[in-house]
Amino acid sequence: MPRRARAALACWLPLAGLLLVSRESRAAGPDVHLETSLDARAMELRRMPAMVLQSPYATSVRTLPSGPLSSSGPQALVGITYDAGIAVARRWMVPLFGLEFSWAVGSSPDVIEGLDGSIVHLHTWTSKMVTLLLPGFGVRAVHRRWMFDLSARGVVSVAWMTATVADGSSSLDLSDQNDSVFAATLGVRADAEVCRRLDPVERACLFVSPALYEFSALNGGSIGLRWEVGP
Amino acid sequence: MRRAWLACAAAAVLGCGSQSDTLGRFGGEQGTPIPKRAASVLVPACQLDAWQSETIASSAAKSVLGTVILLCPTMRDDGTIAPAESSAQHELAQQVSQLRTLGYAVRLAVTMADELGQPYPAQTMQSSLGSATWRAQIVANAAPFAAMADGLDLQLPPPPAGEPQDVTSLTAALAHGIGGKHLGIFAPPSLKPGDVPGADAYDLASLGPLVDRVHLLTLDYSCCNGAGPTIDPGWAVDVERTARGSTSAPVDVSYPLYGWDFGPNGASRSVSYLEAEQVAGDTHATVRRGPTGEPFYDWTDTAGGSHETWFDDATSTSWALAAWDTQTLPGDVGVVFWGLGSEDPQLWTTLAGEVMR
Repeated sequence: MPRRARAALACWLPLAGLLLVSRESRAAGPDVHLETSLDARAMELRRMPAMVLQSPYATSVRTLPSGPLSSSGPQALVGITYDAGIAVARRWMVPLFGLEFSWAVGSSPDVIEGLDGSIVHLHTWTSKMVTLLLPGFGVRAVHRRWMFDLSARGVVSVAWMTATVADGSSSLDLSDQNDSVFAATLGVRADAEVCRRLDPVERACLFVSPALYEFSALNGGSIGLRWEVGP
Repeated sequence: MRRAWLACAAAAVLGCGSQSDTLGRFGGEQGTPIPKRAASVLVPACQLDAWQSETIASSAAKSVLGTVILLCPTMRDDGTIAPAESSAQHELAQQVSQLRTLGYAVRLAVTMADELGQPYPAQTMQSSLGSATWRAQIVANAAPFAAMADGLDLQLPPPPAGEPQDVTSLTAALAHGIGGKHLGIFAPPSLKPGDVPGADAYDLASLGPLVDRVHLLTLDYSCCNGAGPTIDPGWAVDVERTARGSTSAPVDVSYPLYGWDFGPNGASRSVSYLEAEQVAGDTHATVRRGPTGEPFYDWTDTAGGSHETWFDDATSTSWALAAWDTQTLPGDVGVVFWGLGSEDPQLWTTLAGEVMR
């Protein structure tokens, strides 16, 4: 699938979901409601995960063994998230699933590492991360047009970036043979949000989402604006 | 709907990452310390000049280096060893003594060349190395040099291929002849038989028991395949592993302090850091950093010849030394810095600040 088509699909699918849920929400019963959201967030990872070269890599003079590199340090990212969940009796919240895509923003350094003695350059400014938001649990309070939400949930995150290895006077892209360099983790995130109702089914929210465990403990978090649809 | 579009657009305009202008640091924000290793520096002469003397006396150099190796004396094809005059030998002994006073161990690297400092023809060298009489003369003449230093190192130019017993015989004779002194040997950076000129003359399995240290000449990586870095740290690791497969003797890898200027028609010559910097300044060349971290630039000489100059500086050297963590290169592997006087003046200060205590 062409890159542009994939991008369009990624933007339109969540929107279609939002509109569908918007209709469903209006028709649902009073105690259990499906709701969905789309947000834009700024993230700060206190420490990027140690990327792993997934399989041996052959240069012109040697073969690098697969193995981990050191962490490239902190990283600023921005992301967009599509999420869906169930609200029960306006007091409980069960996040169901979501998908987040984030990418590096701002200027980031070329981080140099050694892999079996060879010089590797990690292009931290190309960092990207996909996070699958797993089911969780939360509480909710509503006061007139304001709503307060606190929840926690599991996540599966995969982070990657481009990297090159020195081969004499040449640089070789580590992602051009078999696998790239990436890291994956199972983690836990919290989420606290304050929402203002815009109409019977739409809310605008400000949220913070600390990463309780994501690649490492208390590894930064995110803050952003969320558009929610649900009663 | 309009709000959704706004959210999408807002995310898009948040922007993408870009590379910062600051020079990358090894190991990222935390940095990676350089493992402490047995470090030596080779001086390509019998005497230190004023610059070298000042450098070696600095506290930074003292904190990094433990041994000074003087590329001196020189074996001749007639069995003599230069300098043969007692006054010159006395001067050498004084130089050794001064270095010891500074706290360094001092070794003498015995090389082989004619009166002009040029390597002998292959046939001459082969007949010398193969002669038991010549070897006996060398052992006898090496005695005063062994007596003045903490050890000798055999640093032969590439001998004729296929005669490993000759180098082993000379090493055995020297090891026996200098008594309790330490004897080391410089060996070519071979990864497989026949890949480096002269490497087949070194049988590390038989040399290992005769020497206290094997110095691997992991230098001039790009000597024969076009312009490039003087060393590739990963290649040096492979050379060390190959040598370890043949000998249990302690091993050093070498690190060049000089660079290479690759000129037209395959002509190349070694350059010091200061010379490389000066030419870059004079020709207004843009100095870039290669994949291993080594600075390089292109320039054109007055005759219109195209050159490419590669040289190490404090940054590229510290990157390579940090890449040699002790899991990659065991802690007992030492480093010989080759060519005191050719280095970046900031080198020893930089290394002193980054070497793990």
